[in-house]
Amino acid sequence: MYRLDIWRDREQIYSLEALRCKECSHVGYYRLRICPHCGKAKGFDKVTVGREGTIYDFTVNYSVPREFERPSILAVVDTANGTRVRGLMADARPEEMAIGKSVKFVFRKIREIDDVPVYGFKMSLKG
Amino acid sequence: MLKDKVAVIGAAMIKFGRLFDKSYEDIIAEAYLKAMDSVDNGMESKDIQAGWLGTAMGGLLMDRELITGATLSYATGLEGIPVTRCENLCASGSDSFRNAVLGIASGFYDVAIVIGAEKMCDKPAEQGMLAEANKEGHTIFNYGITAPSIFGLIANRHMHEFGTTKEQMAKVAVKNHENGTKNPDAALQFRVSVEQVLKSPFVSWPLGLMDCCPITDGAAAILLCKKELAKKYTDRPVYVAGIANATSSKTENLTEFASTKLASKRAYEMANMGPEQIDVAEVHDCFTIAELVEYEDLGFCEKGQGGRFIDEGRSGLEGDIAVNPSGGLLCKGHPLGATGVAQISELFHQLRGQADRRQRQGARTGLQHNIGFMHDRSVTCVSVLTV
Amino acid sequence: MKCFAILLGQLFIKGILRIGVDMLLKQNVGIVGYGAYVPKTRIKRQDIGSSWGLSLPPGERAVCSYDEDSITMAVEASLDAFQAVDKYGITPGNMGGIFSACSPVKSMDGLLNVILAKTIGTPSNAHLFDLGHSHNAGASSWLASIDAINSSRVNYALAVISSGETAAPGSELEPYIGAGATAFIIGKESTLATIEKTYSHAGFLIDYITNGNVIRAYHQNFVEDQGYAAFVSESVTGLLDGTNKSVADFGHVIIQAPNERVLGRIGKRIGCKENQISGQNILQSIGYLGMDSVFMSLARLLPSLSPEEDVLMVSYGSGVSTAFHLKITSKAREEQKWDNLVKDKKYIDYPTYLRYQGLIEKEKELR
Repeated sequence: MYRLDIWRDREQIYSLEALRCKECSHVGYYRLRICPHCGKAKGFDKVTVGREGTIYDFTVNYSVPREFERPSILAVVDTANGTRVRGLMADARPEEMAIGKSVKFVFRKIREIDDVPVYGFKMSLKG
Repeated sequence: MLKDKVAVIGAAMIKFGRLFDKSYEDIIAEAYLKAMDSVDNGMESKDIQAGWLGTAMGGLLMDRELITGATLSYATGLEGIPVTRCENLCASGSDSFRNAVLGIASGFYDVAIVIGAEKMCDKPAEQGMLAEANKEGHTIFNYGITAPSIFGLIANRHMHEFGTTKEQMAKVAVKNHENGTKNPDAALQFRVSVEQVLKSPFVSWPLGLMDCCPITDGAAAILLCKKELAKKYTDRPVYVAGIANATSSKTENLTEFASTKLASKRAYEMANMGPEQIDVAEVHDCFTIAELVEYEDLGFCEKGQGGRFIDEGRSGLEGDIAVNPSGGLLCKGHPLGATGVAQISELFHQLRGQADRRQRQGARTGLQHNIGFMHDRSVTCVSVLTV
Repeated sequence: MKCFAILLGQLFIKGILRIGVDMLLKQNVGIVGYGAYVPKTRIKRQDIGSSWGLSLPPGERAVCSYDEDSITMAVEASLDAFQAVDKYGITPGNMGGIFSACSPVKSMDGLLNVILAKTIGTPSNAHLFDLGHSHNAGASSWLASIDAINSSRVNYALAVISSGETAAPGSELEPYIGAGATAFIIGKESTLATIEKTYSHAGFLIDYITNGNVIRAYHQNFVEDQGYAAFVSESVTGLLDGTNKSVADFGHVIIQAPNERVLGRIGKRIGCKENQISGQNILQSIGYLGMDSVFMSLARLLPSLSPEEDVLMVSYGSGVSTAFHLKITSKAREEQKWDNLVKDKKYIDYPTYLRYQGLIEKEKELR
């Protein structure tokens, strides 16, 4: 893990930007040159992931090293504009989680590299 | 046809487990010697013309990024042979096998060896496999993701969409553990009940400890040759009828593996048969849910019916298809590079009637499957073997 | 007689000019909108106290979760503010400056303002001011915002103040420190309140010593008397000087104080009645917010205030006290009422609190 990853993907991480393929309209959250769906490199339009979504899937992960809060809840969320995004949950207890619930994106400290915090968005249950 | 080109004439796996007293080179050597011993008429080391070494994770697990194919020759004394080290995640071993098959089928080599080996236990788990969460992949997007969490997602979604239950998943563990008690090379040698599986501590909900394969060290080796040479080595060779590899980045649907569907379709076509003709299968049960999904992806049953397939006992030793008679990854563990090769070894013995108490009666065709799924991309290798 | 008339005339013109200049300077600078963020996590004062054999007055404090700090709270408060002003057509793109006062995080690598700018989406040519190293920093961000608007370069400024400080385990301060952030959008035309006047008074004092985000208190009785009380007195006097107002004319008085007991004393000292003073609730339910202390109290108060009400808000930190006179111009949104902000609470125990603050860590297995 290193900071260059974060800098290269700053639009995705901080501005929550997704890319929509100009050819097939598939929206991917990660930076791409070639669309993995249609295989074409026709360019991408920028779309915002938005800050809300519904839970498509989740798992409550106990198999994480000590630097994590245990358990760590991993969720896959469908956002309003149809992007499927995967990320960690914040402030959620395992018993509160259910497929279909609404979430909003919250800004948190994701991890530390050499003791220096690295920030990004996690997801939190709404209401 | 492929089956007229490539024959498997020797195969073995070492006993998997926490092999603290054996180094990476030790287990390569042990698998090599055991495979050589398994050749009915014997083989001389000078016969071997090429090697493929399957090891997936040198860096994270052994602090060894640079393994090189030369480690195979170093550990086995096979000085001078051409060796490629293959990495394809969990399919590293089976992809090494695939490349060896291509090497022989192309006519370039007459005799080749495949060795799969992985040391997973030398570091505490938190700094080895669990460190996938913070040391592997993208600094932000992959933070927190471990193998159990990926399959936890698949299990949860499969339960949600098809009503698959934790009991059905537990039955995979029960079946495979039963088989494992009959396999002296399996790391775990005890039976489990559905209750025990359901009560085991959570690893990545809904998966509990017994839904997951253990972390083990292991190695296995296969010897192959062109068909015309097979009778020199054995009267009972096993032929490779189909072999395929497929990669996929269409991984948003968390209830199936596009790469498995593709690879198995190709392997079946190449072998000119369908899933109905398979007698015995060694599939990738890294987690119990994976085996249920594989029943569907490999065409053993309809989509969404994996839970029902095991409820009806159709994957037991005497079922429609004997799935994972070796005990599967759930009992052997999953030393990444060794797994695929060990599966081929099991099928080799099954198709020659040498599988003792876990023998599938009258087995004539076998299917081997591995899938490596990480983050947002997957690779599957499938091969079909016949007598 | 003629000279007298001329003199009067000159005075009259000067008077008009003076009023005019005052008005020109003021330009109705005020609060256009605001947001606030308080972490969900809470620990009761007594759960801290009992670990140290202390008996404490009832109350609790907000604590940053393991994945929060002053920077994450600053972003959340800012996002909340822009959600509030969206309906007026004000967006991050309108900001001419971000004046951020955030308490230090463990290791800052200078990215603070840039992260804020990138995540909120302010224009790349907005001025970014980092003001964050004392309990005066919050007032600084407001004063700087006001000055920027008055300079006419900037139409809207974002004053973000975030306090994620903590105190050392077993210290006097530990049960009383809170965590939270506010973001106020200051502009030329106020929609919520005009900032009528400000007055700052600075003098030499030793009060808190900071080490990263851990603060240590110097002699508290001294600081309360010669710091908070004395300086607040001075800045309020300075603010009221030349006006015909007294403290009694303000319906609401917000004063910075480290706990509710001290707040009561300072209030009395400057001549407040019990029912004028605001801030006890936050001190008892969230804790002392350092540089964000008075601004969070304001955020709590605003939804309950009506047009024409006057608020006296006085900050104190590190030898500086700033008094603000605010006049409410319209009622704040119902959605921003305080109960909504603090409705989800999650209580933790003392060991968990120490772990969240990074003060204890699980030992690593040797390899």
